[in-house]
Amino acid sequence: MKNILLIISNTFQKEIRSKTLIFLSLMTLGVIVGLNTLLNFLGEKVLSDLGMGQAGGLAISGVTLMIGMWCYFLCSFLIVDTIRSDFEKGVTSLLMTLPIKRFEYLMGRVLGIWCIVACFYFVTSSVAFYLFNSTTKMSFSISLLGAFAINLLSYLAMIAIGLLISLYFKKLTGLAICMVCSFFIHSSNTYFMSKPISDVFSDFEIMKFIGASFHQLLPRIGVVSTVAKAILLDTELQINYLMESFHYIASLTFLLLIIRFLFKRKNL
Amino acid sequence: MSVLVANNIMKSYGDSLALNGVSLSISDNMVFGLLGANGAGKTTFIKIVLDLVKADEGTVSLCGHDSTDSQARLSIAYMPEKFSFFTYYTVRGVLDFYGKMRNLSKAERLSQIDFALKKFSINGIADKKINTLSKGQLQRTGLASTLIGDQQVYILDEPFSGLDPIGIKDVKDLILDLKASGKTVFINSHILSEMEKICDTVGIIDRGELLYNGSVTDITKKETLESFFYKKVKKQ
Repeated sequence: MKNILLIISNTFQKEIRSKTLIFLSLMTLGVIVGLNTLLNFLGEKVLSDLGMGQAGGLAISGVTLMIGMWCYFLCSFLIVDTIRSDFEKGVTSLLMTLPIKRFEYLMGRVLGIWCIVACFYFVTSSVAFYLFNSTTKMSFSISLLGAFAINLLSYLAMIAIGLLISLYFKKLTGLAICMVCSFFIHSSNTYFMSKPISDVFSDFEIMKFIGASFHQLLPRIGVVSTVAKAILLDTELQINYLMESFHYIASLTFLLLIIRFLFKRKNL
Repeated sequence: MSVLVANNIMKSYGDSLALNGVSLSISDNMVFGLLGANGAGKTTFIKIVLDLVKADEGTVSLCGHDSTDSQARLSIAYMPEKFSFFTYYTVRGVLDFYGKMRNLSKAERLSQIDFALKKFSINGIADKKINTLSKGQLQRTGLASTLIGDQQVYILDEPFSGLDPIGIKDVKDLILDLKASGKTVFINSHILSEMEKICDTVGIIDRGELLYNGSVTDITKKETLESFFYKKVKKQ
């Protein structure tokens, strides 16, 4: 555990300097401030009689969704960047000569990046809420925290998927594959979420089969983010929450075990 | 007692055979040098010992532990040919990281870091970042990192590389100090004249095969290590 904490702290020190992270943070804050200024202006000139609370609620939902999307990008970018740069600079092999297990190193990196993404998500969402709250007098909703917590689960799964990819592909290729995978998993999850698995065989197509394999074998980040969105927008979903929770835990554990198996046998 | 035992190590990369049944046993409290031309299989052997590369066949044991066990690495210190670390760390930060990884208390870390910095005359650059160091300073930092903790086996890959004459003398003194304190030092180097002076035993490897493994004194009774090495490798 001590080794994992040491690698988490090292990941923080390493990636907190990431220009992409700094750029995305500044850009997100810029969008939030811009949107808030617009709401302020509309509140004075147009919306004064139409209910600023509702407008603020919509604005914060939109901004939270945007921040959520950035977070997927950050998960992919940071994990690929940190793992590949360790490989390319020969630091991985140097670390592995110290008394640390290979899987502890990977877990330290995954959890470190998860913490950075969670901080980014929390800080930018809090700034958005604070600004919109003062402008529109909207009240704090527990659903914001609920969506935050649920989204963190999908980010963890995305980081694990990015980790698997970064073991074999270089930075740019790895990032591109991560983004394609993320899109493909989201699409297949959205398609199969409301359909029984037998649907794959009713009208067999190869893409449908691949999509169903992604849906069954990998953590359903699309379903998790849909649940977060539903909590945020206060809409109802027709899914089996118990089954989905079990699937998430089982598939993430399976994915991490595969990564452990592969990394243990990898020549450094 | 043997601190490093390699049994019948086989490794190939595609069709190319890197190591062909290398067996080696290194006793404690000695300086062992692995000699070989470029591409002979020295680095592959070291990487297998450190469990960075998996052997196709054979086993390696380090201080009684299988080399794949992370506990085995508690008893070894490794210095690569080109030391590299996270560029935003200071020299002191690197040594502190090593100390934490090797389970040292804060007091132990402080005293050992001070000792290592002085030993390699790098106390003046202790707070400089890694990316501002010269090649020689970086090598000294790597060597200093091996002194953090209490290891039994020191594996040094080309330790003289990038060092000035003073640095080379410091490294030789370090190796002799380590031997005097009962440690085992495994060196991989091309500089045969230096190896002749500091090694107790040497292994000569060529095209993945161990051609010789024995005492340096036995060799130097008749000829220099350099001419012995040349004959062995040319005979192949």
